[in-house]
Amino acid sequence: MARIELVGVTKKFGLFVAVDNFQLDIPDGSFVALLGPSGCGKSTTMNMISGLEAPSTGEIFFDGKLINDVPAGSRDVGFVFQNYAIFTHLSAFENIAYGLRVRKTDTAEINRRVLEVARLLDIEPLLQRRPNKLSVNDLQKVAIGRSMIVEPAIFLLDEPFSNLDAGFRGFMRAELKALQRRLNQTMIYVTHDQVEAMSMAEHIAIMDQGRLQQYGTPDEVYSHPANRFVAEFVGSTKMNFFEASVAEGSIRLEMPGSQPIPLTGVEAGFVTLGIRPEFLHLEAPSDSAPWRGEVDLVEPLGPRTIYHIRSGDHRFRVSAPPTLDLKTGEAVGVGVDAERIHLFDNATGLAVR
Amino acid sequence: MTAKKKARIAMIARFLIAIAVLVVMLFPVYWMVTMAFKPNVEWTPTTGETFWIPQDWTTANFTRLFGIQEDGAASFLVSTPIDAMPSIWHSLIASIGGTLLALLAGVSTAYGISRFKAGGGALPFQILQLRMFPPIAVIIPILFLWTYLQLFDTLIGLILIYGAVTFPFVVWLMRSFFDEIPREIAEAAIVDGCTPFGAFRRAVLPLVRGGLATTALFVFILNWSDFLIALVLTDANTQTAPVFLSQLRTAGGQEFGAQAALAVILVSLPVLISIVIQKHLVRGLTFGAVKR
Repeated sequence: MARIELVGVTKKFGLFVAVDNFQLDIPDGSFVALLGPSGCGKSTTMNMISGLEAPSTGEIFFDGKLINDVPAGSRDVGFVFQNYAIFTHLSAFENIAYGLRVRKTDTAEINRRVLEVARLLDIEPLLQRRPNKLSVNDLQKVAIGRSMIVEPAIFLLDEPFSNLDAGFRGFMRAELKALQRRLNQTMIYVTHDQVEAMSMAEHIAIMDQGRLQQYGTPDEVYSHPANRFVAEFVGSTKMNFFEASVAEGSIRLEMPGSQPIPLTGVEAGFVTLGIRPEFLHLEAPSDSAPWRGEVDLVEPLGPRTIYHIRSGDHRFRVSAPPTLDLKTGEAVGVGVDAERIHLFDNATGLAVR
Repeated sequence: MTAKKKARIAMIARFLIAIAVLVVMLFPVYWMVTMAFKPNVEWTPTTGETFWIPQDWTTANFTRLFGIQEDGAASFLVSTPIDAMPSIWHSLIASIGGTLLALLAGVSTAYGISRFKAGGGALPFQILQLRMFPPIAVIIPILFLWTYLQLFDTLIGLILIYGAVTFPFVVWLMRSFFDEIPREIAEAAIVDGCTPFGAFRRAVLPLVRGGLATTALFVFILNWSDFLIALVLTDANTQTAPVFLSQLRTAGGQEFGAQAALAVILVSLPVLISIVIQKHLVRGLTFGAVKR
């Protein structure tokens, strides 16, 4: 267990700035996801925490101790890699035992601990197999076992599930979350998949272009995105964005037949309005409906159906329950949950509401 | 019916062409091996007769190589005893030494290039450039240099030059094998507590065993079969087997039988090694199939 603090951490590769003045405070025993598109610097951040790369500037603390100059092997971290990094010349047992062998632990102790880890991960019958005789799912379990065995204070996982098949990924998400609860270790999980981050982590740090965009609980980043990037990146169905203007206590859209939506406490001017498809609802077309349009495309997903609505030059998505059965071309009214409207500054992208 | 017949004729024609090519390719090998077992009357041109198949098999050519005179074999020659053994030893020591030197320097260089981009993008090509001129172009300057350094006609001198000449091959071959290994393999070992060198030795090197065996054999064959360098840089003290073979003539004339026998011995060593390490060679050749 350890608290991790990153203070003004920057990593440059030549002229390219991979991580830019990064601040993060990860409390002891918490599960934090580093979320961002590929190339945003999340893996580099992870490598700096593990000690595989040194920051160009800035400081990294574990439990208040500066560890910039502590080599990777002495930092007490476990690392699970995206492509497993399993040693193909060793059996599953020896792969898991590797960290203990390097530490010259005695054989009886190694046997005991490998079996314990294997039982926890449910791979006991596979221990004697070579990696080429294991499925990708089991390989990833072996990789997790190998980092668990040394009982590291900090667990680092770099997109560990991206090679697994979809069903098993969901299963492993739940398993990993349960495992983290049981071990109560600080765990950092790198992913570009917002569903993984939302479903597992207690806190999510969203990164883009080497910079921290927002750090908060899954609910905070979903309900109160700090800027347009976070608003767009988080959420299974992308948020809808509209050019809008605020004046006289209400917000207006350049959309045929749209009604001004009352809104207070925002300065007059031009802004970008964002609203998630979940907070729009379809109703019968009427003059009282805030927005109007017609169904352009229907995407039935099962639990929800996504309707693409066209209104003038605007196209947006509405998430509706599957009981609503609308056909392409039908005219609809669209209700707006005004509480859930986000407004972003056009120049800076920062949330103004 | 005609189509079927045509296909059949085409197949037979292909087969015949393949056999013809094989005969042309393999005849010298056949000639060398049979010559090694022929008594001198069957290979001495004076008889004017050609023996396609040895009539009177003998091992006299082999025993003669090691200073033993068998009755009848070369008895008509005013034969000076010959001994190929020292030259074989010189070849072995120089080839193995040169191979080890090239591997030691080349494998670490290759890992540095593959893993850390050591020396920048141009270094691999600069190393390859060492092979871009015919050796004969530089062998005379090297002779002067070696004489000045007192390395002429020494085994150390041969080992150094063999190591230097085959070093680029090791770098280029091993680099491609190291490129196949994901960098996370070494990183995982480092996070587990290995030093960077420990990660290289304990995690990466075992994974390229096959490639290492293939490279070692390839380089060994290059050194073992070298003629030009040894011809120029050695003299009586450290003459290697190929040079010895080329100069195998006595007062009785060129000893074709003994030459063929020595050639058979020289060829069989790499063949034997290949058979012994075959398992690793196959692994080396199918290396790309390693699960990533």
